[in-house]
Amino acid sequence: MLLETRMNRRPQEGKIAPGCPFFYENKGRKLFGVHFAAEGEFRGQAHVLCNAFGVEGENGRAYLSRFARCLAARGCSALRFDYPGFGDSDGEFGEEDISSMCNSIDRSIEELKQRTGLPRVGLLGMRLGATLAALVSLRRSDIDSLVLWEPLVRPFETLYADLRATVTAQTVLFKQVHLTRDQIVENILAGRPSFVSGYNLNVIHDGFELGSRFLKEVKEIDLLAVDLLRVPKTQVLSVKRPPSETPPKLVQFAEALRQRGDCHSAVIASPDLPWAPDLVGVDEHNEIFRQTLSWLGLQ
Amino acid sequence: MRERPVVFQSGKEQLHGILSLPDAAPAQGRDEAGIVLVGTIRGRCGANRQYERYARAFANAGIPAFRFDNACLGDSTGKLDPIDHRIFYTRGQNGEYVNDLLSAVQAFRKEANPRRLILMGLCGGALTALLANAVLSPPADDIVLLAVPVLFERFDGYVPTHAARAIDIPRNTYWDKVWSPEAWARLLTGQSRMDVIAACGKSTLHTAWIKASKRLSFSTDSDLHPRFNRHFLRALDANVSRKTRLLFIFGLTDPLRSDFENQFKTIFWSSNPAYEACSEIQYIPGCNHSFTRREWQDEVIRLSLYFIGSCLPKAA
Repeated sequence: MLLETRMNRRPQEGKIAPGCPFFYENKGRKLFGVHFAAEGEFRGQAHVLCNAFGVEGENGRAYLSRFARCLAARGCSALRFDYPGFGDSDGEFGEEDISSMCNSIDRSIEELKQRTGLPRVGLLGMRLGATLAALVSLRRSDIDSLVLWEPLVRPFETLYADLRATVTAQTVLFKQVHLTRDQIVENILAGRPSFVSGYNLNVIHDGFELGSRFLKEVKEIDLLAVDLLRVPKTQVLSVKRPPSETPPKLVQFAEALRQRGDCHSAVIASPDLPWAPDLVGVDEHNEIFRQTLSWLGLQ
Repeated sequence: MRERPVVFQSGKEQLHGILSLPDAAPAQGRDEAGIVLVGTIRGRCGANRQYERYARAFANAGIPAFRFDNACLGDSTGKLDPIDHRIFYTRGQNGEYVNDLLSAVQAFRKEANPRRLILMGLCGGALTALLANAVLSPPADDIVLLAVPVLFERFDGYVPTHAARAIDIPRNTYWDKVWSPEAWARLLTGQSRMDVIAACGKSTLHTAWIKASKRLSFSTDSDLHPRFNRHFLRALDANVSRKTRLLFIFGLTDPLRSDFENQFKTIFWSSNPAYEACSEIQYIPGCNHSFTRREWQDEVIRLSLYFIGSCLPKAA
């Protein structure tokens, strides 16, 4: 009998399962996760949810929690967790890298398998979390399905674009720009701080410190270069706020997966971006949830 | 420092929080002080994970800390369809999240019952702390207010939430009760909270005295900014009359600092010597509204620990 079935308690009528928050060990450090156990009859599906990066991750947390509750309400199990250096997990943001983030996904997969008794689980990721989920799926044989919400095909390009705000912030702090994006990137890669008047400018999103190892690893990532035959069945959703359009590289990535087969992709035009800082709240009947639940056979 | 998650009830919703505790057990079975960090739009971690840093710094300094997600945010339950963040702020400025904080304080007191309670919040979280402490019983001893807004984000009229009514001391809280036989029965049988009633009464008399004594530098409502949040002023008066100590911290590049100075301080501060006696105002050079950088957060930790430490008994 599956562990999940034994552990599961049917919630009282009309009550929403709160989720079970807990800390778990990963290489001597604590990771934080919330396990949303299946409500009612367990359907044998479990999903690890991988959050976005930086300020997008802060905004995406509620979105993933809500989606996890949707999965639980449909008889599936889900684990939302924080990467090391993020949220409630141990570690400092600036000291973490892609390896430690992927490693925490591996650990979370094991944790969910142990909690549910399932041999295989699904991975779902948002933005950089989607990119990492895809990378992790390549090296494992126990991933059933992969859901990618607006993955960053070449995440360095996104980070580089976001660094523009760090340059702009200098005009507020110092009335002039002392360091360009290229100089900041150069300093980060060399492991040097970018100090101006006591402020370290090696940051993104106005305060998330970027580490050297992180940036070096991010520069290497290109989803177009991965062996797509090793990627499990995949759903790729491009989520855009009109009038912006899907980045050409994401179109290319989704097309390559479609040609390989076992891939569903769609473009969703919605004003409600899960990671946008200007919106609060989650509509349970939104198109992203609907498309993914439908693809997972849970509608 | 050790941490553990805590799930607690607030009305119909289950709220998620993290309790950070010092490694050492309290010397006399009870910690001298404990802090509740008031959840904001970014939830229990705060903008750029600053609440997590504050909580761990406080726990490492021997002060238990608790941070939580308000209903509908983070991991907490609750249904909220997508709204513009400015609408969310406005709701908070009307006291919508006061009940969540009151429940969080109750949960914190159950888990770690410190002698002194400190509330700390950023922006809307700071205002929620001030509003909640006007009705919290027993009240918090100190509040650290980071970038507290004195103007509504957008003003469409006061929202008649239960919490906002409760803060509007005592017109809404007690006026109805004057006509309630049940309330009189509770009073006469000694079941009423006399400390709260006394605080409310004192606050009312104080406000009336300020208005009557012409010590205000404004004479009509037209002198006030159209978006000025009267809940802030009423809650401040209630806190002052309850002897709560307040530490205001603003970033020097934060536009809300100008609002605080121009729309509140220059108009009201000199009218009430109690403000000066109970409060301290600190500024952090270069700092923005959300205290996003580590350098500014370190300064917040330093100022807060100094402020909290100054009210604790000195170690032998």
